[in-house]
Amino acid sequence: MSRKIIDGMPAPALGASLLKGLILLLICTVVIVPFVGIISTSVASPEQVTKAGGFVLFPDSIQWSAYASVLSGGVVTRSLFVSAGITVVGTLLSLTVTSMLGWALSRRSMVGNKFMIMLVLFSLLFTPGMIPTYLMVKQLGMLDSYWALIVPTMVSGFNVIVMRSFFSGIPTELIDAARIDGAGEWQIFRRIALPLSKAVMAVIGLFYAVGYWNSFFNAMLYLSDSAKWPLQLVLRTYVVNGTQLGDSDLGSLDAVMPPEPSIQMAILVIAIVPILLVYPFLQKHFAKGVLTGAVKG
Amino acid sequence: MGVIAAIGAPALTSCGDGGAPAGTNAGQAVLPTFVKFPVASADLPGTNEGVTDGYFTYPANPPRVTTGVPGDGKPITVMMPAANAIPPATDQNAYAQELNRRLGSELKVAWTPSADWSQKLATTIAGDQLPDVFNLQNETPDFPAMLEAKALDLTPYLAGDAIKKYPALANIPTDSWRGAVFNGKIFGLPIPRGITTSRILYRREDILEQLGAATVPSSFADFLELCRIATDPGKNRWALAGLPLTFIQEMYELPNNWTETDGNFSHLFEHEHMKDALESGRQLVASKVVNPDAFASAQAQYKKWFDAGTAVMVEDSLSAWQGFQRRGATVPGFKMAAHPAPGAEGGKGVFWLGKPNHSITAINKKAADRVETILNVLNWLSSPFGSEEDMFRQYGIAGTDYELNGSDPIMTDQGTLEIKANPVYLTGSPATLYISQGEDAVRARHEAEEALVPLAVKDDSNGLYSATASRAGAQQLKAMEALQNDIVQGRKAVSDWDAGVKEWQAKAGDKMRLEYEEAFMHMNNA
Repeated sequence: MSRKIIDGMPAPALGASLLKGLILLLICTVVIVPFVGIISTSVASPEQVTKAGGFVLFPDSIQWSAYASVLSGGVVTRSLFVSAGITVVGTLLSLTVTSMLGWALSRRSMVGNKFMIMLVLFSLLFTPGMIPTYLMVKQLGMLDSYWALIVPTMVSGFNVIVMRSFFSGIPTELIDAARIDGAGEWQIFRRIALPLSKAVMAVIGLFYAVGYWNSFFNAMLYLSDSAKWPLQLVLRTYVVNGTQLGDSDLGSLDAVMPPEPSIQMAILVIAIVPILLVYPFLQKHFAKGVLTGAVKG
Repeated sequence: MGVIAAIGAPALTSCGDGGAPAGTNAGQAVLPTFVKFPVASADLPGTNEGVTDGYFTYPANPPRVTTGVPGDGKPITVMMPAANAIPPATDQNAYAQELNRRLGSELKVAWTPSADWSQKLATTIAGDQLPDVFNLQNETPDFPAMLEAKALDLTPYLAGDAIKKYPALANIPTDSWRGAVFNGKIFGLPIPRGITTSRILYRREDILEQLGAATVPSSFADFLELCRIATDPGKNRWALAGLPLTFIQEMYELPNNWTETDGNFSHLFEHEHMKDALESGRQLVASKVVNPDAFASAQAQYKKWFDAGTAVMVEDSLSAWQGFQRRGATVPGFKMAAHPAPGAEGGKGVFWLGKPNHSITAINKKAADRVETILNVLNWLSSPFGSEEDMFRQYGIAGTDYELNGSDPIMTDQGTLEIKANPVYLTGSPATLYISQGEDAVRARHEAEEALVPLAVKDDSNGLYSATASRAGAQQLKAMEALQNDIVQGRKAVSDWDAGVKEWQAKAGDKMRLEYEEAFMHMNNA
């Protein structure tokens, strides 16, 4: 029996297709089940969560009390705004600085080009320790300020190299033509290079945004005022404190108890969803942008 | 202003708390005098040996036990781990606002997730950013040197009878104060926990009764048999949430960490019956009576299994009782109990007492000019159970954070959120046993404590400092725990334990022993 030809290749046999489908379905299930579990547990009744040992896959009824509890009191809502602000401002600043540095490093005529590239590569290999960074942040007067969450992580050496690789791939003829037309370096960067780099900017922007969104460690170190905490650090107190301390350290404090699993899961959902919503809008740029650094040098 | 006096309390009587002779690396003279500060008489009285005072209800109309306002109107900066999720900010937290008003000084608390505490502390010290008051755990490396450099010596304010100026602080047992004395000086205030940090084995009595197996085992063989009866993988039920190694070691009457005889220290690991305990642990695992996911799960998961009845028994701290009881209220027929470990071959086992403190609170050297104000505030926060101050601190504002049912406070939703601002790791009064609307639970735990405490064994290294223990103790302990896990899970033979102990002795154990012996000798000669 002759098999159908697709793109010059014979179509796989039905059995092989089924097997592949099954394997993919299994992998998808393994990935999706924890997410479903998180969402289900967050809306399940406390009785069902207790009975199920803390993890529910199919809730008997839908209850929003965990979300109501998490969102009351203003801690999570406030931190959500802080995280959003840090992510937006941080990502814009990061993209600005990274693209400008990447462009400068892609200009081979620049004096000290190789030295600067070595400096960027050096930052990839050797990162400053926790205490030196803290002392630097303190010296810059950024303790207890939102800038402490942005400035120390504003430029990633990896992203600079990716950006530089992309800019290096722009045909010199294009740049020469612009120069003949009277464009200066700044205009070439703004009018030629940046419009061509939407894909790579989208991907690097996403890397930065996810980094800012998920970051909790800097906030823990640099912010004493918990009213300024981003969502991930608040989340950490809900999830990690519950598991680390349990009620073993609470002595006779009857009123203070670790949060219930449904509350932990509700705050997880709140932390995941916003950044997850960004992905579909950037998906079309993703493959192209990610490959930029891989194939061009 | 801010002078604290005991009002409404019975006469303050100076007495010992039944503990050992005084002094850590210090002389007896340095320890504060213990002055009991009883406010309400207990329904089930405790004992000097450690049984906690039990209360069926919160005492009605709690009296105020302080006068004036302890603060000086200026903010007090504080740094401590967050016991739970963080509270709403002060501007949105009626409880925090009222607490600040009553204290007369705003508490500006820098919370830190407990998991990140050591990193936060290290950077804050390095950056010379320590606040007026800060929490310290004993695991902090080079503890005495750090305290000498950064913490205020509180000896002139608290040693001996000087503490009587702060009646609530004088109510903290001497055993707890030992943990706050280094290099002969009082460098902090203990956060006392009494016996509540001790580990016990909890049983789901309702499930065992259904299985007709509610008897208390009288030997290890009995216990193993009970575990076999309680296990039914087909019903997703295992006897044990995790391997209860403390309970097994108590069966073999092993020492509680370090033990001292005639000035010589030896460790649990070196005890001749340690291998018997490991063999028993191995038998429990091999008999498949321990949840198969136990070794990949944390204590929080064990609690959930116990709540769900997936595990019939779980080892946890004594203070977890309230939590189990509270969550168990949603489970029909839930009934819980605990009993001491029997002897491995019959008779009685022992009961390991936990550490008397959670941690200590130190005052920054730079805040020396406000030390008396800060001590007054801490004294207010340590007001004993049954006082108006304690009721407010633990439950908040009546009508807002709690409603009264009889004299028992029942938290409102707002209260549950706001009460997280209670600075629990700043200081506290001695542990008491009170469970709102839980008389049966109080009786059950008190009964368990009365059975456990006569078998109590202390860790003889408590209150003694070893630099090696603070620097390398935790790391070497982890290595030994890994070896224990390998043995009980059958990956290594019980006989491999000897080589592990030799390595532990060479890397840390022998040095720790010498340091503890030296500290012990110094203490007794002081």
